[in-house]
Amino acid sequence: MNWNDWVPLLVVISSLLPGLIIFGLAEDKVRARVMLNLFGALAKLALVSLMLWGVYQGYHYETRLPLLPNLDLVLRAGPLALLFVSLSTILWLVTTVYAIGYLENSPHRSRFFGFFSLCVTATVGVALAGNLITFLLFYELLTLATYPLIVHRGTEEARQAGKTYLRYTISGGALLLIGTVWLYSITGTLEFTPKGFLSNIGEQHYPALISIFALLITGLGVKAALVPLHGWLPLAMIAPAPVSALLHAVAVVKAGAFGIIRVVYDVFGVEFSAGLGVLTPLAWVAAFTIIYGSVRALFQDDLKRRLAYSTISQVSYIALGVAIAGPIATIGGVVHLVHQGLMKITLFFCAGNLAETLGIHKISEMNGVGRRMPWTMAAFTIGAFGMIGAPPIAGFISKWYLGLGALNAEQSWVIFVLAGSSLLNAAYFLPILHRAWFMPLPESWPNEHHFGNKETAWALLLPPLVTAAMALAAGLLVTLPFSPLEWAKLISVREFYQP
Amino acid sequence: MNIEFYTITLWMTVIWPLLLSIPSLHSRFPWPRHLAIIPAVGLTAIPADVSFNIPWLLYGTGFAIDENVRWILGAVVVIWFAAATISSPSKEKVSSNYSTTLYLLTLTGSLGVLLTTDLVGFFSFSTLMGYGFYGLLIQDGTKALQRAGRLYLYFLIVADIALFEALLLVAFTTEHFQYDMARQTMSDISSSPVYLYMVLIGFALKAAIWPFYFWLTAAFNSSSRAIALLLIAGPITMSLLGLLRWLPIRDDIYILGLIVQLLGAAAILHSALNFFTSGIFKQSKNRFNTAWLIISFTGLLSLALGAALQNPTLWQQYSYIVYPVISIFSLSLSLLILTTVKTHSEPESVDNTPTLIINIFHKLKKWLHLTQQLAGDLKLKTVTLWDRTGSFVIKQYQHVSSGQKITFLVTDWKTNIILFLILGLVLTWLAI
Repeated sequence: MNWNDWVPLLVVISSLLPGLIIFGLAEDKVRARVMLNLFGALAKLALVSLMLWGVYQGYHYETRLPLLPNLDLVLRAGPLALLFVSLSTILWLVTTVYAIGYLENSPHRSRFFGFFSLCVTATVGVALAGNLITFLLFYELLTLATYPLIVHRGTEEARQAGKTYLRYTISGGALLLIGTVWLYSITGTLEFTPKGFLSNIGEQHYPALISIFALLITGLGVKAALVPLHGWLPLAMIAPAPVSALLHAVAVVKAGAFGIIRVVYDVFGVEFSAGLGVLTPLAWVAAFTIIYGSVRALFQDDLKRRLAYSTISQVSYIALGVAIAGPIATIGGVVHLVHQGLMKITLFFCAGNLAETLGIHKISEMNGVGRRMPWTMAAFTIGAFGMIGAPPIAGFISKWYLGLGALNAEQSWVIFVLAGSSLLNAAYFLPILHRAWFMPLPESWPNEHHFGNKETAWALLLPPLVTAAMALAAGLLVTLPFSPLEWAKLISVREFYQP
Repeated sequence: MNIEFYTITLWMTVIWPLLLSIPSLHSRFPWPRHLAIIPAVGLTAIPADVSFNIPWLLYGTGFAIDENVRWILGAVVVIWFAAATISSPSKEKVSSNYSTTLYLLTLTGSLGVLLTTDLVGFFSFSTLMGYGFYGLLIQDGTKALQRAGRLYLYFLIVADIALFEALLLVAFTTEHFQYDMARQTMSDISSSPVYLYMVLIGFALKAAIWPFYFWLTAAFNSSSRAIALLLIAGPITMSLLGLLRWLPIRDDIYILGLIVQLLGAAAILHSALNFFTSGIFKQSKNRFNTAWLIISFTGLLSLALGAALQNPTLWQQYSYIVYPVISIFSLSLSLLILTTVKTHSEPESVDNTPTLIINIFHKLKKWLHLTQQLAGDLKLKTVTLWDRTGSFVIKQYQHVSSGQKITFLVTDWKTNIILFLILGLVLTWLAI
């Protein structure tokens, strides 16, 4: 094995190792824990940057370790994997900084940061998985690593949310496992391949393949929060803000959506899936989820809960982009994987800032908060407008390509879904902004903490500003070579145009 | 050397107000609202046409100024300068900063719309301008302004969605978003009618073209003079400009041309009747009538546009006149606003049907037997609305309270629209 064969494994280890060491650290070893966290995040960022550059130059990065007879543990850095792994790596660094500030002086920090690192390890593993069995392993590890983060506060409500989360995700994992085993019994391989590896399968297997597709998508749909498998997500917002941010923007929900992309593109292949007739139902479910999530978001007064329903809606754009089955919609769906992450993590960071600084949890408590915390609310405003699809923020680009893709694939009904969703997004985000910026200040805040002449601690303020700037840059500088859009185009070209 | 200087000035015209909109920056300068306009003033004085492209921004955008744009830029600069001078930010420093931020963001959007060379750039700056203006409109927090702001916001969101759909159709057809190329392409293809409808609806909502005028009258009557000025320099002028830049003129849409003309005729009739019955001369200092002047002007433009849709050759020959006309009209309206007495109360006028129409429709509606419940609601609304706009309105109020409950029946906006559509239809038919 040469150096390039080790790089994907090193990317996984760069968060696994610090995580394991952190578990053993005493609670008062703050400096060591911070150093380990930041070192791991920066090392991962350096390695991923190296892979990005290498793949752009045509290098091949693949780690292959024997796991079972005829089944290897494969980590491979293709364009799609790199897109997701870059997102995870960058947002992990930012979230680590945020979590350090957020959990300052709170108990069980070693446990928290240990599982936090494991969570990112699992996400990176999901991203780099080169076959379905590797994907499944890391996918299940993600479930187990996230559970302690959701119940971290230790309250009854948190424990209940954790139980619900486990019930949903373990059931989903079981379906995924059944589908994987069934698929292996038919094909004898689980290796992710551009355009899929099922096109040579005999027609007598088609009914079985349709069932397998349903099993895999249902299993993945739990984490991707497709309706009616979404019940765990609004409850899981009980977790601390950094966990919610990670859950909604990078880790769990995205792992599900990413899995759907993998199954459609690299297991079944888009054309084969379309031929089986399984993409149309997926598109319907995604469209319904988009509208349903937005409608439910309208009626939530709890800020994080509203954001959670918004996630349910927004993540389904990815599934919709995939299900439309065209090169341009693919770009829209894949690029939204990154764009939604940037915007949603900004919103959750801001929600965390409001809770930590002023004790605000409900939208009805947000009157005039823009005057008290202008930078936080400026970042929130960018995130919210991005979600609505206002130009030139990242969400505009996603909706642009999804709409264009729908026209291209002659599925004009999608345009109405997008328009309806934009209207609903405006209906549940603009009242928040109106309250924050234009309503008079209250006499006092629910639970205010002072940070000198700053609006909040710098470790809490910096991350949302960085991610909001990234969301803006992803829209403004959309044609630059390393922009998420250009990577999404690369993936689409590979899927649709390369022989 | 000159060209470089001109290019920097063009660039700074948009970037400088955007930079200044950051509160911690503009709070360090005296007169930030005036300072922000300086590059734009310089740009109007530049004698040459200047342009540059930024291929890495959005889908590749650019900025340019030519003879047509210079007309409007000149008018806009004067109006913004006047608004900056008469606007009186709150004494509280923090809210003054926010007000200035909103002001400068709206200015950036407005100048960006004017100077950008492509549809995507236009749409982006237009969104910035729209939401910035919404903030300016409602920042005082009075009930009437909140209501006007809400109305404006609804229209803005729907307009943006319509224009986004139009943009998608352009992107589906061509990779080029420059105005001329996009217009040319969209005039050649079969999906163009949908594009046309989207553009017409989008800009009609944004420019308060009849019958989408409600937000304009509400906003105009309730806002300060500075905001009324910005309303003209911002949403109205820029949306009319957008209509000129986005709308492809083609020769197979005769019917659509007729419809647009019909709307224009109805707008002019509605405005004219409103002037005559409410006594325009008596109320020459009332903002209420200025709003109707705008509606009649956009009606005139609709007539011209409708004629253009029916006869593209004629339009190509005379379209250059539109730019100076819009500029002069914007300036004239601004002058009118500057010379009016500042509105002291919170007029809540959303509707304003003249007496003549009231009497005609009284008979009609009575015949239709509307339910008492509906009638009661409308009556209540009418009383509130008519109460705040001067002596004529008070007379109306007395008329209602004297027991003649019929007045309420004709003041709902749906009736007005139907009536004036019929009248416009007759007029258009006669004109043909």
